[in-house]
Amino acid sequence: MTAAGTRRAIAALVLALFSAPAPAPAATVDYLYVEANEGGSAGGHVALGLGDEVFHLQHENDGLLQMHRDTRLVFRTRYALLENRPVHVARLQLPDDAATALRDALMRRWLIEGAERDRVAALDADVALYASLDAASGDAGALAWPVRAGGYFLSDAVGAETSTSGHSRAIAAVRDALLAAHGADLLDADLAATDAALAALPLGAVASGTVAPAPDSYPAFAPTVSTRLSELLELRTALQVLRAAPSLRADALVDAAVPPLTTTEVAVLHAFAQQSQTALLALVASARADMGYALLLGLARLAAVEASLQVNRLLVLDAWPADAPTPALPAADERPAYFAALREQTALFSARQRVKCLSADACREPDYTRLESALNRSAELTRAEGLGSAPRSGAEPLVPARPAVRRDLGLCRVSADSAATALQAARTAATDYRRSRARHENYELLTRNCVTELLAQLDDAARHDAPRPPWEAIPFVSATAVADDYPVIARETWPSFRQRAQQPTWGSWLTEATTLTARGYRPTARDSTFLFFTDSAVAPRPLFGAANVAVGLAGGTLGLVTWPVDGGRRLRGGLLGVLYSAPELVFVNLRKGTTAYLTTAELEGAGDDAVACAAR
Amino acid sequence: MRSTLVAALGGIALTIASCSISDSIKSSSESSASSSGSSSSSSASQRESYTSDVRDYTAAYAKSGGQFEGFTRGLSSIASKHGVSNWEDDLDTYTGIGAGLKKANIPAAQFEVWKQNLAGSDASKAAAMQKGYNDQQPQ
Repeated sequence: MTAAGTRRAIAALVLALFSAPAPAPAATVDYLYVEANEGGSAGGHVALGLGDEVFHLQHENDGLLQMHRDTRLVFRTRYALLENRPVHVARLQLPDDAATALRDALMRRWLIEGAERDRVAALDADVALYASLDAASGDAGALAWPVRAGGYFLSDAVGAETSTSGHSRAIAAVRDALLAAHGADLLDADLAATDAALAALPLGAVASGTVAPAPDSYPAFAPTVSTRLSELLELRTALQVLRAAPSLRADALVDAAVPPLTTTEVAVLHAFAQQSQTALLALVASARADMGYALLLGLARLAAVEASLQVNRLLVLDAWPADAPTPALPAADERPAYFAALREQTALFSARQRVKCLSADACREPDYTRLESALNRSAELTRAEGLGSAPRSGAEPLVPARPAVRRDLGLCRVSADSAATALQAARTAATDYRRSRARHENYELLTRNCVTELLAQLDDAARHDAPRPPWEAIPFVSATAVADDYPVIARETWPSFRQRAQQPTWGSWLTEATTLTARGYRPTARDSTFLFFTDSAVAPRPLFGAANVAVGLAGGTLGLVTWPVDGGRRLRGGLLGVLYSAPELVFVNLRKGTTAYLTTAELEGAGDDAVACAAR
Repeated sequence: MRSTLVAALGGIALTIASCSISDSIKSSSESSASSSGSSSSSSASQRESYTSDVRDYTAAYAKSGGQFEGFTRGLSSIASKHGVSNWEDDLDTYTGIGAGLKKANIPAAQFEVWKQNLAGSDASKAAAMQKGYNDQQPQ
C-alpha cells in the first residue's frame, strides 16, 4: 500500500470509529388510495400496507364492514389490474412502536371478526338442526346430517355403519399398526365411546347466554350442539373408515393429466405416505375435539397418494365445494384468449407446486395442500373450457371437505314441545348475535366506512388525537388529509392496467381513447355501455361525457327491446352507462373500465412490482 | 365552485357503492394471483406466515381468557387457511403458540401449564413452544 493509501485507510477508520451511528430506519405504513371506478367501491377505496400485508375493509352483503387481509400481489392484481384503478401509495413515517401497535390492532380485528363469523355459522347450524328436529316432532331418528370429508368414502344417506367397498392397503396398514400398539379392541372401544357421546348429546339445549361480541376482545364461547354433533359424527365416520379400510369412491379423485411421476417423485410420495401414516397414528390419540375431520381428510389423502403411486400419475382429492361460485365469462370474442391465459397460468402454478412438494426434500402437509389445490384448478379449467362455461373459483388454498349425509345418528329422542322450544331459542340466539354484531360493525355511509375505520386505527396507533372532519370519510379527501397529518417519506402510483398499456405517443392516446379501438381494454360482462375513456382526457371530458351519455341512452333503449332475450343485460349496461357518464359532463371521471383476465406475464409483472414495493 | 362540485359528486359516488367489491372481480384471474403468490413464495416464508398467524391468534385468545377446547377449535380454523389440517404434527404450530403466549404477557408459570396441556410428553413440541416463548418480545 502507498503512503497516500495508508493515510486514506486510517482516515476512513477514524471516521468509522467516531461517527455517530446511522439512525435505524423508522417504521412505516403505506396508505393506499384506490381511485374510483364503476361497480363496488365506486367512490374509491383505501387500505393500509404493512410489509407484504394489506389490510382493508369491505362492506359485505350482510351490511357489515369487515376487515380483509391480502398480500400486496393479490391487492394490486385485484384493484390496479382487474379493476383498472390507479393506486396511489403514500409511505408514512411512524414512531417504531406505532407501526407494531397498528398491525396488532388490524390483525386483532381480522381475527375477532373471523371468529364471529364462525360463531354465526355455528348458531345458524343450530337453527337448521332444531328446525329438522321440530319438523320430525322430536324424533331424532329421522335426522340426517352432513359429515365433512365423509364424501370421499361414502355416498349420501348412508346409515350408521359404513357401506363402503374396495380396500385400501395404506389405510389398513394404519389400522393394523394402531391395533398392534393399543390392542385389538381399540377401534371398537373408541366407536362405542363416540356412540355414547352422541346419545348423551343434550339435544334440547341451546347456546344459552350468547356472548355478545365485544369490539376488542377475542370471542370465547362454548361449542353449540350442532358443532358437537358435527365433531362426533366426523370422528365416528373416521373411525369406521379406519376399521373398514375402504378404497375411495370412484369420483373422489381428480386427474389433471399432468406428466407421469419421476423416480424422485415416487420416492418422495412414498416418504410422504409413510410420514402421513405416522401422523395419523398420533392423531387418533389426540385430545382435539375436532380431530375427526383431520383424521378423515388424512385417510382420504393417504388413499389418494396410494392411487397415484398405483397408476404412476398424480391424482388428488376433489377439493371443490358444492357451492363454489362461477364468475361470469368475458365477452365471446375475448374467451379464446381468456382460456389460453388461464391454461398457461394453471399449468405454470401446478408445475411450481409440484417441484415444491415433490423435489428431493420432504413434502409437508401445507405443500401437499397447495399442490392439491393447483391440480384441482387445472382440472377444473379443462372441464370448464370443454363445456364453454366459466371455471369455478375459490379462495386459495382449496381444502377438500366433500360431505356425506349420514342418517341413524344415534341421538336420543326429545319431546315435540322440547324440539319446538329449542328451535325458538336457537332462532333467538342467532338473531341476537347478529344484532349485537351489527351494533358495532354495521356499515354507515359517513361515520363507519372503509375510510373512517382505517383512519381511526391509524390515528389511535400513532396517537394522533385531532378529530377528523366528516368529509375526510371520502377516499380521495382522506388521502390528502393523511399526507398532511403524517410525514410522507415516499410516494408512488401503481398504474392501472390501461395505463400500463398506454404508450406516451399521440397515436397510442388516440387508439386507447375509445372502447372500440383500445388494445388495453378487455371488458368484463358487467361493464356499463360507453364509448370514450375519460380518465386521461381532461379537456375534452365533458364532450366525451356527452357522447357517453348518448351511447348509454341508445344502449338502454335497445335494451328495452332485447330484454326478453338477454335478461336485461343490455338495459342495465345502458342505464349504468348514463349514470357513470353524468359526472364526466362536469369534468369528474369515475369509470375506467375493468379487465376480464390477465396474461401470465401481466400477472407475474404485478408480482415483481409488489415484491419490490414491499421491500422498499 | 369546482371543489364544491367535486366534493358533491364525490359524495354521490360514495353513495353508489362504497367499500364493497364487485363479485365479478372475484374472478379466475384473482385466484391465479393467489396461486402465483403461493407458488412463487418460498416454503420458509410460508412457514413464517403460518407461525405468525398462530402467534397472533394465540395472543388474542390468551388475553380473552377462553377455554382450552375453544382455543384448539379456533387454531384449526387458522391452520386451515394455511393448508394445515393436522396442526399437531407441525412444530411451527408450537413455536407460534409459544410466541403468542409471550406476546400476551402470559407469565412463565402459566406458560408451563399451556405447555403441558398442548405438548404433553412430546419433547420436540415442548422445545418448539419454549423457543417461541423465549424468542418473542413481550408487548
